[in-house]
Amino acid sequence: MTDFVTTYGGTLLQGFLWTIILVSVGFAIGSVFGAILAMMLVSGRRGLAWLARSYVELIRNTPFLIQAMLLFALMGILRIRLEPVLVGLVAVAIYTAAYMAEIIRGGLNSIPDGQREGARALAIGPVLQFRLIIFPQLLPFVLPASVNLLATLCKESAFLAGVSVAELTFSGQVVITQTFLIFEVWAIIGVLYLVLVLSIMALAEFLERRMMWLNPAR
Amino acid sequence: MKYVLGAIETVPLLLDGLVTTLLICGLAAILALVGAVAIVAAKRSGMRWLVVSATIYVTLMRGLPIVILVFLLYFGVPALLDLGRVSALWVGVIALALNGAAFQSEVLRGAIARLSRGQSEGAYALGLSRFQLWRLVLTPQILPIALPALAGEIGFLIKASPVLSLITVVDLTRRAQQVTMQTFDPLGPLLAACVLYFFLIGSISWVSRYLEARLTVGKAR
Repeated sequence: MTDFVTTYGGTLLQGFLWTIILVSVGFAIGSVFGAILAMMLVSGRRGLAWLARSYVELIRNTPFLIQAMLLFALMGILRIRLEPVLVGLVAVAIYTAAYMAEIIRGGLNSIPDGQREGARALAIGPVLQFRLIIFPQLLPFVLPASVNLLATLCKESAFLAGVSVAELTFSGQVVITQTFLIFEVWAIIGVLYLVLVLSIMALAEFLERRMMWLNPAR
Repeated sequence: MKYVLGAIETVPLLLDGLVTTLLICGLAAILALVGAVAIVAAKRSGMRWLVVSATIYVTLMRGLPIVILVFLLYFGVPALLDLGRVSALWVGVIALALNGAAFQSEVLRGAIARLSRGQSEGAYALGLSRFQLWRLVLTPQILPIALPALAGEIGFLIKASPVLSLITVVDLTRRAQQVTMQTFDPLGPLLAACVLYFFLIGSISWVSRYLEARLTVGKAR
């Protein structure tokens, strides 16, 4: 066992770190685009809203593995040479953007229009209106939901092993070809994912409980 | 545009993959529902060890990626128990069912939690047996509440099902890859598979939304 850890622990740990980097950076980039998409959805402009809606529905109604495969095929056709890890990161960002857009849209919709009208009546500008009125109410809704999304992303990212992105699941496949310790390696990797995903879920639950009193709807 | 039409032309080649995906997901969804009922029963049994093991099970399934569950069951367990080769198709069905059962049990639990306690007390006062209570009073109320979310869970099941292509099951995803190898077209078959998945999962989420709108009419929200 100690031999195993010293020889192959590094490979697994590296895969684990790549999963964390892949998911967190992809999540951060995707969230920015998700916010933009959410604004398009609630903008009231038909064309913009339709465009954003099509994107969101397309991503939300297709499997992540297919999305990743399509992205890799597209990269090949366009002759764009990127590290597989970077392509995987883009895939995570594309996926995040769609789900994040729905989360933020739901939050924005839960704020009554009267508040915006009231703010305008008090001559509060759009920036200040967002900072002082919309954002503080958005947070208790969006934060727990997006942390939950992060947990889902960690699980979905395992599919990236299917397109040879060197993340945790892929590193497991590598170690197994060298050791033939099939059950042991998958069990270790399972535990690593469990620790990662369950702690993120616990954080989401903590945030939800903590921010409940901020939520005007309850 | 011509390219898109070309991609659509590969759809017939993908149909047997689509059928496999449908069969696997349909079977897994039914098994998952049976499992979910068992989990809910265990959680409500009041027997400590049953409650604890059901809770641990649901937590494990919620935290473990479906890819790892499938790899554990297809590669790991047979290696540990020296079973030799096992059927990838059945392992896939079982893995999706095990996973789906945990999530569906949460849906059922949530639906049951919304019923008031007075219902069971009233039913017992009228002399109904425990079985009659569930069949006549509770289940007809749980179903409309749970059905939209259950349909949503079937959508998640289909979205997870390409995991089976990673263990040699020729489902829609793997069929698309095979057609790619035959036609030397890296994008078309995948695009066609993507469209098929989109209509499949999209129609289920449409049904889910329809049920939600339909079944909540006239109820105070």
